[in-house]
Amino acid sequence: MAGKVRWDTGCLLANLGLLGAAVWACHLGLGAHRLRTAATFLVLGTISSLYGELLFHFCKTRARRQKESRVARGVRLRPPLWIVAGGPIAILAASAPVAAMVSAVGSGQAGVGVLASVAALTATVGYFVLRHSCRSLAFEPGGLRLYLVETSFVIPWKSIASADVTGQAEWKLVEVALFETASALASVQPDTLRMRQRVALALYGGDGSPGRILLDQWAAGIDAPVLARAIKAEMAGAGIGGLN
Amino acid sequence: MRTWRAYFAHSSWRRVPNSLEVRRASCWRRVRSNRQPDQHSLRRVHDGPWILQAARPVGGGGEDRVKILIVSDPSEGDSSRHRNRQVFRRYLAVLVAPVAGILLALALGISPQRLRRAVEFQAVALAAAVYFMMALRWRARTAKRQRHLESLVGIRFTTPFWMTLMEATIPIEVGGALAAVFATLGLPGVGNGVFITFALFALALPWFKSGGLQPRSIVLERHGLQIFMSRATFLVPWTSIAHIESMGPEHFVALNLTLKDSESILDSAQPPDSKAREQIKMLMQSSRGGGAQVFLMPWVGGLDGRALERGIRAGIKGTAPGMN
Repeated sequence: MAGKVRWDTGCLLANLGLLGAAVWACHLGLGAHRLRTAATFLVLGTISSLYGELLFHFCKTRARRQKESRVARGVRLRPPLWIVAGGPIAILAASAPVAAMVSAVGSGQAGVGVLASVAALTATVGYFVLRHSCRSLAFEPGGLRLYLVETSFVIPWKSIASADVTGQAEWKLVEVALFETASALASVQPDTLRMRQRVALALYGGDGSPGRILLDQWAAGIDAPVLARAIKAEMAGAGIGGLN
Repeated sequence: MRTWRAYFAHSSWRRVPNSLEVRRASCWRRVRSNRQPDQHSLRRVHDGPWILQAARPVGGGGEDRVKILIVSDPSEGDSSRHRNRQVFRRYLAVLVAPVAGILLALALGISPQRLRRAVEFQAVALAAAVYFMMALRWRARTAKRQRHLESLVGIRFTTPFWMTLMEATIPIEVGGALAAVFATLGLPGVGNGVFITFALFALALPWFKSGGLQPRSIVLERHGLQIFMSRATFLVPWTSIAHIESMGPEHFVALNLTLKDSESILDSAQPPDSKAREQIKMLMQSSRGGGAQVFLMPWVGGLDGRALERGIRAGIKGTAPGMN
């Protein structure tokens, strides 16, 4: 991994590099109007990339701080908005250079078209991700309460087989493996068929058989290794440690 | 009213229509909601792509609700009629609607010159759609041919270019149609931007798939499944495949291989360096039992999912011709 430029840094360099080129071309008097529009997109992209860079460092600090503190019990833990905003802003940072190039070659309208279609695609994908992923949770005495849109359910500590960190270094997820999904499905609130279907989909198992659930990076605003450790600690507290 | 619910191997509980068609090897069987299903007869229906594993009553006494366990999705039925209907709906939304918009604009007195760009975008979308339909037919023919091959052993299957292009036509189609809508509304520049975005997606799709996430080609060998990635080659021995699961409709079957020992497979990576291992790890996912899973997308290496499944099963059993 050493020497590899991070995505955010790459976007920042691309935005800054193109912005420099646009300013230089403007100075030479080449198509000032088009370049001004392109520069607007690049300024937007640079700001977004800077946000991404800051987010990376803030998240690192947050993760370091969380290592030393305990996860709160009995409260609903949600990811902070400044972390959630990081995803769409990163996409904006990546698409701004494309929009700038298109508007420099074609027209400002084309740049708007690029950003609008990327925004529409991001919103569509984001909607489905939000509907089916558990982003907030609560550590309760009986188990881990997970929240989906319009519904919540509890996974009893005794039903959890393991909680491991998976994914890449830049995108860590917590994979919670379950011995059975029946008790989680029985705890769905509100208890309607639609909500049970949604929960079963999230659990990768709707007939009570073993299932698993993937918790996104920074689900509940907690760093993945810290979250996995906290779940393991609760499992051990419930007397499950000996089962594995 | 009787409710039918079904469990799908690759998704979850869903409501299915009150009448459910179950395809058998040679005929169509209709299970009606107004008839008490016979559990044994349902359990016996094992042939065909929709394998009914069990039917057992759930809820209050089993009179009103029947739970059917099946391993495919009736909403994605493999009948040609169903597929045609899906294709028709898709073209109606993507292609007919923008054409109707252009015609409406002409009727409203907008000059044809102003609508030229819209027509151009629509023509690109139409060309992409025609190519996709033709490629669907070629693919069906390829599937038929591959399913009738006596043995798949020793043949290197690589995704042909026309099949790669097929996936890229989908964003082109959508982008062209959306761009036509913007151009009809008098915003051809925005249309350009929308089309460029979708065109970039179209270019990126094959790169994402064969550039690292999925195998470029595969060979069924005597000892196992040889998988060629862009940076690595590795062998999955038949003995290390614990379980094979197929998912998706009949013309678009994906396979999930559960492996017993992922470490020895990683050790077989060629070239034996960290980059090759990293790429193989991207394809392998850890599974519950401590082993690993390899998810092969439909038409990986240009090979039909069912044909590949048959080849792998024969390899595991050691019954494929050319293996002895």
